[in-house]
Amino acid sequence: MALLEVKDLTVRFYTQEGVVTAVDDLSYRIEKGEKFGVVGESGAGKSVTALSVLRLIDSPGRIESGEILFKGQDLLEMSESEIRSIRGNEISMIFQDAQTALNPVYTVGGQIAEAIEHHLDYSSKEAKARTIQLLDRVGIPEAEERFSDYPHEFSGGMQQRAIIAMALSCDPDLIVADEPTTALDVTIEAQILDELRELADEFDTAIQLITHDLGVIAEVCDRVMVMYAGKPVEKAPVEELYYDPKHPYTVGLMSSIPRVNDKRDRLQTIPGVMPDLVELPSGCSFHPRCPFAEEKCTRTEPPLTDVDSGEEATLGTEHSAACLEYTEGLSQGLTYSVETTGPADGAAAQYVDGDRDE
Amino acid sequence: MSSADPILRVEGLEKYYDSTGGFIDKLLGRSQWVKAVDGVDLELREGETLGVVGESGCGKTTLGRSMLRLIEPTGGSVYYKGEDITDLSSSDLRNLRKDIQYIFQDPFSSLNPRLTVGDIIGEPLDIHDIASGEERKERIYELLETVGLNPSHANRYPHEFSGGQRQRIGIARALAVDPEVIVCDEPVSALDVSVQAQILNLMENLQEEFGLSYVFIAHDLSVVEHISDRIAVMYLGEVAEIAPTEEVFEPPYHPYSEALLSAIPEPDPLWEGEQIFLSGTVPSPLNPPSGCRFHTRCPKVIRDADYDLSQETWRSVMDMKLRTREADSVGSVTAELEGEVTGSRTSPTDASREQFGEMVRTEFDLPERLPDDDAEAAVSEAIDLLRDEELSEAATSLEDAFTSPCSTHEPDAYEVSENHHISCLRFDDRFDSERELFGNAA
Ligand SMILES: Nc1ncnc2c1ncn2[C@@H]1O[C@H](COP(=O)(O)OP(=O)(O)O)[C@@H](O)[C@H]1O
Ligand code: SF4
Ligand code: SF4
Ligand SMILES: [Mg+2]
Repeated sequence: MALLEVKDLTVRFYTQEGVVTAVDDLSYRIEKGEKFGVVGESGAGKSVTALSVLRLIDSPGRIESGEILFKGQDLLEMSESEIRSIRGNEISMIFQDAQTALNPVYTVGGQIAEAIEHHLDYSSKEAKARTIQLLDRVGIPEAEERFSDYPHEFSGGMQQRAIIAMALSCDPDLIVADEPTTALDVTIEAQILDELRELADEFDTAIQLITHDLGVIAEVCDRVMVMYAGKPVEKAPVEELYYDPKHPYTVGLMSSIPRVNDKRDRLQTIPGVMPDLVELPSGCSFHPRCPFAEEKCTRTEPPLTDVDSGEEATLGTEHSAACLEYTEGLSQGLTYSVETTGPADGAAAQYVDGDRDE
Repeated sequence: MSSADPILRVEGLEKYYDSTGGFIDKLLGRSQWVKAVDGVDLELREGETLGVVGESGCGKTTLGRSMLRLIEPTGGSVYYKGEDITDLSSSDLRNLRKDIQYIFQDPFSSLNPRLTVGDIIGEPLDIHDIASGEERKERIYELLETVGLNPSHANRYPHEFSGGQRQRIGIARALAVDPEVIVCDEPVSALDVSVQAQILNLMENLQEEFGLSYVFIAHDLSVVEHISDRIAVMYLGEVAEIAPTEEVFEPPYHPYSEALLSAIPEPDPLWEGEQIFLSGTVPSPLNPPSGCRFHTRCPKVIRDADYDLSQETWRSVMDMKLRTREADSVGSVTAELEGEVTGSRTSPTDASREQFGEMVRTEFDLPERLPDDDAEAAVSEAIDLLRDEELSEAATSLEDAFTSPCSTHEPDAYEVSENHHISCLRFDDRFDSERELFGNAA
């Protein structure tokens, strides 16, 4: 049994401007111990997806339909108390903003110890001992002394480490991490990602890692889902996504990253911006920005398709993409190319695409 | 000014912020200074982009703002086209702002929400009496077009625009006065990569079209690399390295630049580059480390000639020494031992000598026994003192036993090739690169 199966999830927000379909018929699966990345531009629906898994969508938002099966049980069918015992225990979360996760009026150690006492039924002495060990484990020196510090006495990097300690404290099966290192300097980010990955391996914890940074995904994840305007546009094992991307949006994201040692005079860009989710473009939502768009792209919405067989993708499909090229076929085809110069000399996959202008 | 002269030059620039505690401190004359920028020399050449990188808090923004006196420097000079602008009167300063413009990081908070986009861009035209009436309107439309926005949106308000569009508005406003230099403070950090690429390309096109010179401040080395002709790497208020862009990314490196470079998450799952992790955290600029400011974290901190230790072990010994000096209790120099029973732990004060030693060595990644007998004796003695909670004695004994030239000598900006300066003692004449030792210790 898969650890997490999200099936046909749709989430809408009822706002003054109109109905925002933040997540539209989304399905994915995370296996036990797997590191699953979710990437896309802001507004793609990554955070809403994460919050849905924890059932934290509040008014004006609503989970309209779908199933979220965690170890086979539908989280959407659970009572409020059942879901609370899962949250922070079997599924825990790390958000970008450490401040919102730590309560400013309680000590850092106290908050973690309380969660352990509550979820694991430890005595307060045992919970404190475990908390100190965890704080030390995530790289907080003076763990015993820092136990009784308040959140504001921690630096940003230290707070994020404490949050990781808290997320790991109850030995969860899944950690949902939403941009956990975006607010940090690269030197700290590198250390924290390394620790997160190591600890997750050690505790055999699965991670759903949400980020806009393809570099972060490459470092941590086994499989990736690329989201655009509330929908998955490509799902693939991490190496295939970087070396053999199948969706024009994925290619665009990759080629707009400035890379060290890259000799391009100008970066390639994806023209325009993410569309308004109240009123999505017809057909393929990406068509106004897609350099390969054809007439039919404005009419037909491409389903997520197995790129090898051309069959409609299922939860088990290895590599899928939502582009008409893989169903009815484009008359011009997709004409980008991937240049791999190999990891040894630094600049790896560079994307050069045919008919795209600035 | 000859064409080889820099358009903007800072010399010995200093900005100290007074952070003297309270009344008592003042009464006793105890003042404390945050040295945000501490003696920076830089040149911006006409038509070039000078990138400035470093971690948050290293003084990048203070430096950028001091360059056009949005912040008053506390020392040093700024020259614009050869003229010292440090003491300009306020009216001259106003004229200067026509030549040097500033773009802020946050496109969300830097635009007045109550003004229309047209008025935001028109404001500098009014202040500097550049255009009015129909001409002003024409100019605003033209500027909007130049930055890739629709002129018909001049009557809209900032909140109606996306992040990338707001940054374009900020750029249009900076361009309104036809400046020579633009200081850009993290102009793309808040944007998605695809939008970031659009803005970077726009900035490069404008530079070509209008012959602009940029100071481009960012914490993201790959962004800076893409856009800059030369790069200055800052650490704790100082320039650690400055070089033409290609040279920053190739040896010889400043150890800090090398670490920054290795930390960039490479968008490549097969990437096998080794990441260099730095010890500890960025020290407070209130009391910066002696000698080379980077010595508290530098993986290449120069070894003590008295001992035969690997570079890694030497870093561990230095970490132990530095941490002991700062420690309030033995908790800060000991690691937690893996408990045999979950939910139990041995407190360092209850540990046996053997356990305690293990705790200290684990904390600093020190081997069970150091290969150099004298070094082992010194570490072991310090562990004994720590176990007796004699913290300051332990600190003194470590201090006496282990010294690095990096904590006693302040590096100059050594010229390693033309236009490439590295502030690291490894490039000093006294450094013996064969034996990796400093000074005339034979
Ligand atoms: N509380 C809310 N109220 C109204 N709209 C919301 C709310 N939260 C998210 N949305 C909308 O849902 C869409 C997806 O947002 P989000 O999941 O945050 O994207 P991402 O995390 O990929 O940046 C956006 O259009 C956003 O404006
Ligand atoms: S379906 Fe058309 S518009 Fe959509 S990604 Fe494919 S080529 Fe582009
Ligand atoms: S002087 Fe010493 S501490 Fe400073 S960068 Fe060079 S090797 Fe490192
Ligand atoms: Mg988000």
